[in-house]
Amino acid sequence: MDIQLPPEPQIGFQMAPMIDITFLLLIFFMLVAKQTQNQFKPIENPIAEHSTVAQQVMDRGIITIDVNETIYMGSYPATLEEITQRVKTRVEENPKFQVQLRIDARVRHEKVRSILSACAEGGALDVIFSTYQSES
Amino acid sequence: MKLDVLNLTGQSSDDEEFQMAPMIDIVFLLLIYFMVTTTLIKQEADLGMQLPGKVKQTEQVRMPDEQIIEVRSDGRIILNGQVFDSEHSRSMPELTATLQRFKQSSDLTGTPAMITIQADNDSLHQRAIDVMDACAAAGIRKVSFGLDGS
Repeated sequence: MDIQLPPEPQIGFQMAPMIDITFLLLIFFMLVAKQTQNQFKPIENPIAEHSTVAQQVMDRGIITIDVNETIYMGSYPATLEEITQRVKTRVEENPKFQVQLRIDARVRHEKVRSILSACAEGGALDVIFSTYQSES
Repeated sequence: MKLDVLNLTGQSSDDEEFQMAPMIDIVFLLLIYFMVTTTLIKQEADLGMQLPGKVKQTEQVRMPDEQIIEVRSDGRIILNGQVFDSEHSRSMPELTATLQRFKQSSDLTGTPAMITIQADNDSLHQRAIDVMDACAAAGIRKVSFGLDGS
């Protein structure tokens, strides 16, 4: 008597889900890399080993000074007068408003002082300097 | 003439199919590239300071114990007429030790320790941050900048 055995199930590596996940990861990293690069003007931050990484970065306005001593409020160029005015408006809207200064390490202190004066005139007394904790 | 060997018949051969292996290779290379470049973007940290503001006359003000640190355009750091550390080095062990003693004496007398950084117009921002870093290492949080420059 012949007994018909069922065919053995084929065991193989499933490529389709792996490719799906790989594509999702690829898209994620592509988007994140693009967003991080475009957010603010790239500068060479000064190094300060004892600086701390902030856990909470709400209520902050970011001012950048690049190596050419051009001033940016957010991502757009701004004059000292515009900065004073905009800081004043933000402080009136939110008394907890802080100014974060991203200043290139090679900028002369004269320019830093002018920005600090503009912030003080606008009423923002809490100022934070952006740094890197190490060179690497 | 052997048309079937040269494949000039216009019919596709049976073993033509989409090649997955090279595509997966390229996708993996792209994935690794973006993962590596994303992690290379360094995280920014904070060094805070308080700008001088207006104080109401009715409030009692405790006068802080204030020291002025000068930052010269050539990188020299001067406190009470004495030059501290090398102008070529970012680390400031001598200044940090002096500021730690200043902080301890201020704590003993109960007055807040305060540092004002008086930097030359042409001094670099990194040098002022070096002084702020030394203040942070000594535990001094009240740091401000002088308005005059030379």
